[in-house]
Amino acid sequence: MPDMAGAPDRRRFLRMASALPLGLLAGGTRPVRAEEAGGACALDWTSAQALLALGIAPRGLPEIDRYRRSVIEPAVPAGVPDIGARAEPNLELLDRLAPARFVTDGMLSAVHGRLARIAPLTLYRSFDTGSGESEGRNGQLAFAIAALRGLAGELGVPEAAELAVARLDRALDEARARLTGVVTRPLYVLSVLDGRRVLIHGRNSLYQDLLDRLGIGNAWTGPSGPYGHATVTMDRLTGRPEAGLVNIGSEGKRALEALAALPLFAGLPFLREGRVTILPPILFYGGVPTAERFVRLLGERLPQSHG
Amino acid sequence: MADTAMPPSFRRFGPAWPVAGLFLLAGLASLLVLDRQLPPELWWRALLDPDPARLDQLAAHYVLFPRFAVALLVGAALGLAGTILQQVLRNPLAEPATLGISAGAHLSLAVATLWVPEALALGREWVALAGAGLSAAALLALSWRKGLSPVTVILAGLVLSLYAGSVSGVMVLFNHDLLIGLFLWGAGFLDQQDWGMAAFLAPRLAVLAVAALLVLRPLTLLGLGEGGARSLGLSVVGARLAGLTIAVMLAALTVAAVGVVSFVGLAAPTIVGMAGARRLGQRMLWAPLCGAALLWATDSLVLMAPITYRELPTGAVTAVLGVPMLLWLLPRLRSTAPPVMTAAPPPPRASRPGIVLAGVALLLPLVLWAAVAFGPGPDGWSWSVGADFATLEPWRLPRALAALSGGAMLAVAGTVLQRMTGNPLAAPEILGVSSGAILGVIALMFSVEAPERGAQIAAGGAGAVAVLAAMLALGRKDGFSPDRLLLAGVATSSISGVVVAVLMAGQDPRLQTLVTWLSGSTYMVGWTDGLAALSLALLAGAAIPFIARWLDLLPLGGGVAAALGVSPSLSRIALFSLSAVLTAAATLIVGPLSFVGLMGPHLARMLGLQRAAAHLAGSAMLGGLVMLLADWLGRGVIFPYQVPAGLLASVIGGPFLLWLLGRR
Repeated sequence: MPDMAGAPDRRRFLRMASALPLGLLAGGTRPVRAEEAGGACALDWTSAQALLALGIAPRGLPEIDRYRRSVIEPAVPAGVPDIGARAEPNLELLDRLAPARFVTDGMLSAVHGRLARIAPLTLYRSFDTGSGESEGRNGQLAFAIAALRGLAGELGVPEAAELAVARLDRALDEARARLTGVVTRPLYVLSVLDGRRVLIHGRNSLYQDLLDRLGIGNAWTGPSGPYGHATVTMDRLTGRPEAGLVNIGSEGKRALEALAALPLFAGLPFLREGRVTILPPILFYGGVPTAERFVRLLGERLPQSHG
Repeated sequence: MADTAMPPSFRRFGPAWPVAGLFLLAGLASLLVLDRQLPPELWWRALLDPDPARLDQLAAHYVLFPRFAVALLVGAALGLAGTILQQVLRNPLAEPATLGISAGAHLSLAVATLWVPEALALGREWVALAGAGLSAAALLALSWRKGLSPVTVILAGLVLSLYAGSVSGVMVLFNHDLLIGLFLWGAGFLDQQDWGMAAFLAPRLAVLAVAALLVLRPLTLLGLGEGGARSLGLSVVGARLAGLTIAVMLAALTVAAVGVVSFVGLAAPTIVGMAGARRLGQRMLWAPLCGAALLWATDSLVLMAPITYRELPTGAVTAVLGVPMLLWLLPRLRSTAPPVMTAAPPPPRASRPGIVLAGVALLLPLVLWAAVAFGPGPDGWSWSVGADFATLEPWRLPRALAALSGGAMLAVAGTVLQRMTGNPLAAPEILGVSSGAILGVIALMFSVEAPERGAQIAAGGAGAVAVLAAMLALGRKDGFSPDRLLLAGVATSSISGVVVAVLMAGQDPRLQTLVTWLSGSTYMVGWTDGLAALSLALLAGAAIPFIARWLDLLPLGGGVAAALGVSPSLSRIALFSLSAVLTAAATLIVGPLSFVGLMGPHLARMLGLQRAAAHLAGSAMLGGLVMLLADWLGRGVIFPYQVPAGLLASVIGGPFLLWLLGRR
């Protein structure tokens, strides 16, 4: 340790000494400033979906690898930087990226003040948690469309929202066309969680509105929480013997096969008669892009599995 | 554990009453549940030979009846395990959950799910057994030195549970999708879908029950005390080991079957003991029956509850029911020896504590500066200087200061508690104040849309103050016996644990932020918090000379302290409140979880800082240093992702702590 007499000297000394590992670790380069600043940065997946659906490549996106695995659509172009965990996007990195604006679902409200010092925030809520299951709401789909239009307006690309909504309408039309004459059964829309329990989507979910639009009944009329889903055990799905089952998430296939092997569930008509449709992962709360993905996948896969 | 020569006839019907009462309650509730599902004339049919075409009969046969059976079996296993543990450890609060054995079993299953799924194919019970056995071994290592004193054993159990919890926390943070099922199941759901689980449990429990009968005599002799038992030719260690092994296996089986169900193992032996089952033989008969009835009754009540959109795990409900019981039991816990300084031989006392302190004090600013200047970026780690430093400093410095101050505050609180209780395992996390803060923040999160940081701090502070007030009111009766305050904290912590477990099981997306905060992240800290934390830590530092005098005097005994002009009970209130306030502040800033409150004081002692003043100062600086390092590392290791500092500190520090405590 050097002489304690002069703090500035010590500092300089340490700084010089510390410069040695710099060359090894960082290849001798100072961290590069963002080559192009500006753009809108998504702080969560629904915002990312919305930006991509509006034709805007985000300036940054959290947990990109997991997004590519479990949200999938709209696809993220290569080169979009990963900004860290959804619960804790890396503020330091966000500062470096210097976006022109953040789009957020409000989950990070505790750090909004600090984010605002980097760039202004635009709130994008695609899921209506406020009204719960009460009557008189307009439905999640209307809410989601209004939210996307609002965001597009703020970003100065109102026509992009209309394009996205038109894509959804087209997807709904196509699905309806494919399903004509095929299915009139109500559906349980769920994700198998752990072999006993499922996350089931009820009245307050986005899927409810989409099923309504397709003229399909939701077999689950039980309670659903502020996010439109409830966690229940499989044996509760006995109310509608004629119903079919749609599982969201590919890994549900094996779980459902295991369940079908149990005597209790072998008796469940949709398992016994194989009225099971497996859809790849879909983000439940994602608004218009989610709706488009769900409707398209349902239209493609439902006719294959339900007689 | 008085195995008095009470005439057996006198108490013969004693324990039968509460057990029969519980069975009656459970039976009635179950009949009501059944009645909702099936008309009574079909019950037998549904139980023995259900009509495969009738879903309601199938559901009764494959869901309800096996669920009753599993509740009975698990309850009995827990009752037996609790009885044996209480006998072996001579501790009225012992049971698999309070000792951390269940948490260990749960953790081993999570580890196996993620990294060695092949092991699960061997049988979940063996994986659970490995974890349960390891926890039990760690428990013994932690509390051996203190002669397995009841309070130490319970604290060691809680430390183990917290540790297991933080390791699971890391895994959940990064593998949420894979582990959600495990979480659901770990919360103690009893629901079944065939008779498989009952068929799995029954024979194994029968074998263990027979094994327990075989060691009945040696275990009974243990009740005479070591001397008496040995003079009758008993291998005390052998008997204890056999009993422990059986209890650990019972616990592992129940965890493998239904997850963590707490308090049944505590309540069942206590109830039958109070009803007059004194002899071990009697207790080993009645406690399992009582446990079976208790869990069946609780579970039937859960089944009767109006179905909300989220079903309640039975294990969580037993935990909530158990809290009042634990609080009620506390005063009955035999008062342990008056607080004396740790009997462990102290490490060599530093000849010049001043020099040690100065050295640590010099290290602090250096590390602080390095933590701010040297950090990861998109291109790897680099030193930043000049303009670069100026842009990064506002993001890094507040966090570093908060981590430093939070660590220092927790370490001071820990030192005070450890010196007050003479217990090397008294950690501020265990005070219950952090739990109050957690509950406050959760309540806010679920009542207000998008709460601001300021509101979060206010809500957490309100929760912490409420718990503090409750603890002070509770402690007034027995002159603020530190041990009981700690144990009351254990009870409070279990409530918040249950709330978090239930929320986890409900899959609420809002939990993501909560989970990171719970795991000790400094992410939310801005300048305001950072500076507030720093000033609080400095205030705590300024208080050290005053509290050091009390801490030096109190262990000499109430009389001596009073003679020297220190009121034992007043100074205890002051010390306890100080630790609580520091803990609450640190919790709000760096989250409720880290073992810094244990590590700081022990590190300081290892450096030879023995006197209260030097110990406090050293532990504050070392605690701060540990958290600072953890935060620095946590920001960098997986950039741009971040590992919460508290989590990193406890996962790396935990094993070190075990080693440190076990070594002495």
